[in-house]
Amino acid sequence: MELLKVNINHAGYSSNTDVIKNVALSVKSGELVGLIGPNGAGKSTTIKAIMGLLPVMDGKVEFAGESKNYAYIPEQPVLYEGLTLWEHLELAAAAYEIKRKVFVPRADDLLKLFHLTEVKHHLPGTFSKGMQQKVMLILGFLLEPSVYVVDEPFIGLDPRGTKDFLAHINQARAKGAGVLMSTHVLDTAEKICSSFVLMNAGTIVSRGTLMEIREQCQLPKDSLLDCFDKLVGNS
Amino acid sequence: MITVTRLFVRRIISDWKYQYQVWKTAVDWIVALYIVIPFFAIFMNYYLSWWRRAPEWLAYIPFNALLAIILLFAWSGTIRIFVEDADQLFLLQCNAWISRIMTYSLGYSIIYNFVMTSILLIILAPFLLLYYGFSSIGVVWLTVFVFVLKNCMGLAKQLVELRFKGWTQRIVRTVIFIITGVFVRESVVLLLSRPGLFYLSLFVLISTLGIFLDKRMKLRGTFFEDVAREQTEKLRLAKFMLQAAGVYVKKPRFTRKRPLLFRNSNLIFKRRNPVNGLVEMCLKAVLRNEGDVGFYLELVGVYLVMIVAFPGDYKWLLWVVFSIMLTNVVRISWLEVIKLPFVCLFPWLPETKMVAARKTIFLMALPGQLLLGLVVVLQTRSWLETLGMVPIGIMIGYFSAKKVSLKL
Repeated sequence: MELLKVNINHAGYSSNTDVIKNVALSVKSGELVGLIGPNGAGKSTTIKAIMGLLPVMDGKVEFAGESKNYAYIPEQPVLYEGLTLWEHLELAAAAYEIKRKVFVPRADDLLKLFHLTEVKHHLPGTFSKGMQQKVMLILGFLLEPSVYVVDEPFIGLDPRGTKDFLAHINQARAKGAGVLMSTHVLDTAEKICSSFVLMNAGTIVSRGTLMEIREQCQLPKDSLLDCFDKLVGNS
Repeated sequence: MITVTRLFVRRIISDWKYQYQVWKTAVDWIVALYIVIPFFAIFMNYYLSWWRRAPEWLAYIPFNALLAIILLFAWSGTIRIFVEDADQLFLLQCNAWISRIMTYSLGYSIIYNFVMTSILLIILAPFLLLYYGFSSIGVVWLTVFVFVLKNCMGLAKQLVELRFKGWTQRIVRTVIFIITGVFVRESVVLLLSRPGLFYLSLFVLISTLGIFLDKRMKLRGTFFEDVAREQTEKLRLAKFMLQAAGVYVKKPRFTRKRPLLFRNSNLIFKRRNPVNGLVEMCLKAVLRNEGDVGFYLELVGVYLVMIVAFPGDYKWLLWVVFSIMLTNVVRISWLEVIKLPFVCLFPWLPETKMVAARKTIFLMALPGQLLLGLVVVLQTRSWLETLGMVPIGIMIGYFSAKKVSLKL
């Protein structure tokens, strides 16, 4: 079942210049789609277009699934330093009207999973970048949405944080959620993603499973990095 | 080849260019032609008339008010150290360069303070000479005194900021402010009555400035705080203009691990829904921000003084006017919170935002409105009206909050 269907003709920050064009992708239930590409390829712009954050957008974005909702986990932690970590979660719960008896145990479990229980009443302004990123992940997981849109989740996370994040993402996938994840960490992406969308210069240059991408590149045994290098180098 | 002098000059020029650009965005040629130039011309006309005859309204301004102006002027501003974040990559390793940038910065700030002090004293000169009984040489000595004092204060505040944090810092700053207030008063009185003793106090002040300059030059490990302060100073004007236009400007980072208020993230509202969530977040954010609370108290304080100063029936009228004005002021806090990037992550319905705005603005303005009302009651001793004050106050608060939230 397709949970997210994206068909962007063109999109950008002003009407004069298109940053991305002809971007079509979909995320199915249980799928983890890796959105990969070099710096400036248009990955973050694609995510912003999906989120409806771009001033210029010609195309269609459809969320399906039971709840039709999504969680966006941005690359840069967006937190309010005047509120404690727990109050950030409270606000998210209030915004999505999550019932208290559901919210409290779920939030406690997530804090435990990401080892932040001790600092739940602290102000996140004093947290390290990795801890702030974990808060963003917890906020995303708290909603239990049908689609996760994650922008560069591994930046700033320690190995244990990365492992916890991947374990939880896999749990969500097992429950039927779909994930669109933009990343530069290709060796990790190669291991965890079910399929890939490779972008360069604002458009899609390749897509498919690792096997299919290898075939397109005629590099049957090489890594995703080698395929990436060949595709981006040639385009 | 780039030298430390060139680098410093480049930074100064770049700062001036930046400030000019910020001004230009607010004061374009239309504003300049129709507002700034006419205003300046009117001011000059008044100023020249003050030189012919001291204005009559000076009779209402006590000598202490003049001293307060001098004290506040000396206390305002800072000594800028022109360091940048990227200096940590290369420059920080070159002690000679950093120390010369520091010397040049101190020199630049001192010259800047001299120019600003001279402008202030030129404006005040007709009042000082024609009304407060200063001689021409007395005005010159006062200029020197204020100039040295301003540099002393700038350095003292900086040294205190670097040495103390939190409440200790605030207490030390307050103590310094009070001592300086007494010192200014005594010194200016001495200038008018016993100049010999005034020179002595000026000598003490100059010696203190020398000690402070030496201490500041020798202080190490202050790079990041210097960079942060410099950034704040550079953006001061831009931030002021953005805030005036209702744009969210990121506030300085909280250095405390846990907040003082609602330490355990205690809930304000038991009933959880999007409106209460937003209201609670805004109230907590404002209550935890010392700057916001301070500003609120200052504003209520000013309103209070005006209510006390005005005669009988006007007090009630002022109470109503100030209650509405207070609602408009707290609206800015709401706007700041609702524009936070974190809050924008969630899909709020327009109705939710409107109801939350009304509730937040009402709750934030109410304590000030009731306090002002209480003062009016105490002053007019119209106890019968006391009975009506609370419901009327709540009604004014509610309806002005409703009106303001509709504008958002």
